[in-house]
Amino acid sequence: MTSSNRVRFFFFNVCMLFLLFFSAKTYASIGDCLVCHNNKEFEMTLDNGSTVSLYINSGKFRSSIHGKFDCVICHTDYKVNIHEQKMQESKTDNKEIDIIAKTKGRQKIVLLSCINCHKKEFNDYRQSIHGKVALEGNHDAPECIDCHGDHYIRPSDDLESTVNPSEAPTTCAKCHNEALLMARYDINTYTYITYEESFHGKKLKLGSGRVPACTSCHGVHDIRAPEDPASEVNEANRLKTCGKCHTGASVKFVLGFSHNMPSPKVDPLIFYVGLIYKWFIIIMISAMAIYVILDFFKTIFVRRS
Amino acid sequence: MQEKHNEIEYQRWDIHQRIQHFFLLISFTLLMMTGLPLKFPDSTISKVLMYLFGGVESAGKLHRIAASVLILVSIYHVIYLVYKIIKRKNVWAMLPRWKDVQDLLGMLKYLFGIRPDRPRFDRYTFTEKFEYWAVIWGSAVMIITGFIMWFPVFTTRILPGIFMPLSKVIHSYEALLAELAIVIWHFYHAHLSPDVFPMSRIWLTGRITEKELIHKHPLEFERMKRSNNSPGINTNEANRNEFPSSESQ
Repeated sequence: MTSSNRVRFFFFNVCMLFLLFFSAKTYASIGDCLVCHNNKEFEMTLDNGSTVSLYINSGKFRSSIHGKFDCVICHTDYKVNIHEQKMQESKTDNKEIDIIAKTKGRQKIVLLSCINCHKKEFNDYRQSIHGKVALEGNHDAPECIDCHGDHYIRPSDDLESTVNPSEAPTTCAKCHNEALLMARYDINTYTYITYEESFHGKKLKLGSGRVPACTSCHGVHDIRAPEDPASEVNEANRLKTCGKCHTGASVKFVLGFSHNMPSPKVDPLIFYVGLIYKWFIIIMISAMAIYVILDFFKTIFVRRS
Repeated sequence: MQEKHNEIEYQRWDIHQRIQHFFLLISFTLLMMTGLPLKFPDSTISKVLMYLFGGVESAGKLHRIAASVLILVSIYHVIYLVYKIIKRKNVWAMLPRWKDVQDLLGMLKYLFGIRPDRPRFDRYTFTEKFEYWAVIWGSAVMIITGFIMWFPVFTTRILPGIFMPLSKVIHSYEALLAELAIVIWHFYHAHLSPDVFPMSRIWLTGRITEKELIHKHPLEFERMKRSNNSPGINTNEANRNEFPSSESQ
């Protein structure tokens, strides 16, 4: 063996060792997945003819809170041989499997992915109105990724997070502004617009970090219906909830806050005062403008002649 | 320029009125710049203003400081009026009367060419009275509703909770009305009107020229002449008397 041959042989062996090492791994690493999924044109055609993008922005994913994880930590169904293996439920203990037994499809996959680590959040979520409905197998109710996003989840104190107080109203409005969806549950669709119009909402839009967003009053993972006695916005608990910021809030104070849309039937005083003011402004300002324009041209005309 | 110096001028605003106007101007402008962005939070101008004021929280503090200035100016004005009444000066010329309605109709007829001459105005024209009372009304409304929102926990100990959202609605609309009125009505009469363009200087000097006085307030001018009280002052003279026809009865 010449020396150059020996080097070549050594190099070959090292390569083989590396290959052996990687092939012995039981699951695919993120690099393996991104070979295809980092491609912007990568998509899949569904049975109904629509296409779904399968693109993952790797940079954005890496900067997310789960950026150091391998794909299969959450995508538990792709553990060994990608794209063929059935969903694996091995890492989740039986108690939670029972709880999510009624869910199926995307909902089940999502819950299975997250509850492996986020047990406390899941237990809060179970008690919430969203969780109760979702665990009945109802696909209308949001699960984790509907609020938090999927691949690019950021911690809630990150300003870019979908659940940061500055973004929370937009995130909640994704469903709560949907008239058809809300009508099924007899929920009104003006909660967002009344918040947006409120002093809290306007200050939030201008970048205040001190004003409450939806979750500040309604709870986070354990958002409950206002009728639920444990809800933070239930009448029994409002003194405490408002008092978090407004020290010394009284019953009368608390009654001033609502998501009511003023109308002739609800809060008629506010409705009519607003209506009268609006028309008073329109008429008054138009009259002023007309007078001023007339006066301007008359003065110029008189001076010329 | 020389000619202008020898023009006869009349003292119309005393120093207190000029101080009041100055602080009203400052506080109104600040209140508008810090308040309007809340009404239009999506606008880029609002975001720029918030940036300039160092964020919405410090803009809020500035709004309250400017509001305090407005409250102090209002108190100053009330004390000033009470003092004048005690001194038996005539402060009643600002009160609205039937002649103002006739003047408005007369002015409209004149503007539409139905009558050839302008109505003959007295000490205050109806446009000036309208503006004065708009400021009085607006300040009262803004101070009361602003106070309710400034101290919500305190005010709801006395008032029902509904007064908070109600105050917000009133404060917001009244502010818009006041700002539009200033931009259209006041800026026209004090700046853009061909009679005063580019600016009436009464808020700085407190004086108006004889020409302007005869043009705008002929009745007052004639009464002054009749009282034969040598009311006019030459701007070259150091000695400036108060305006006799308006201030004494």
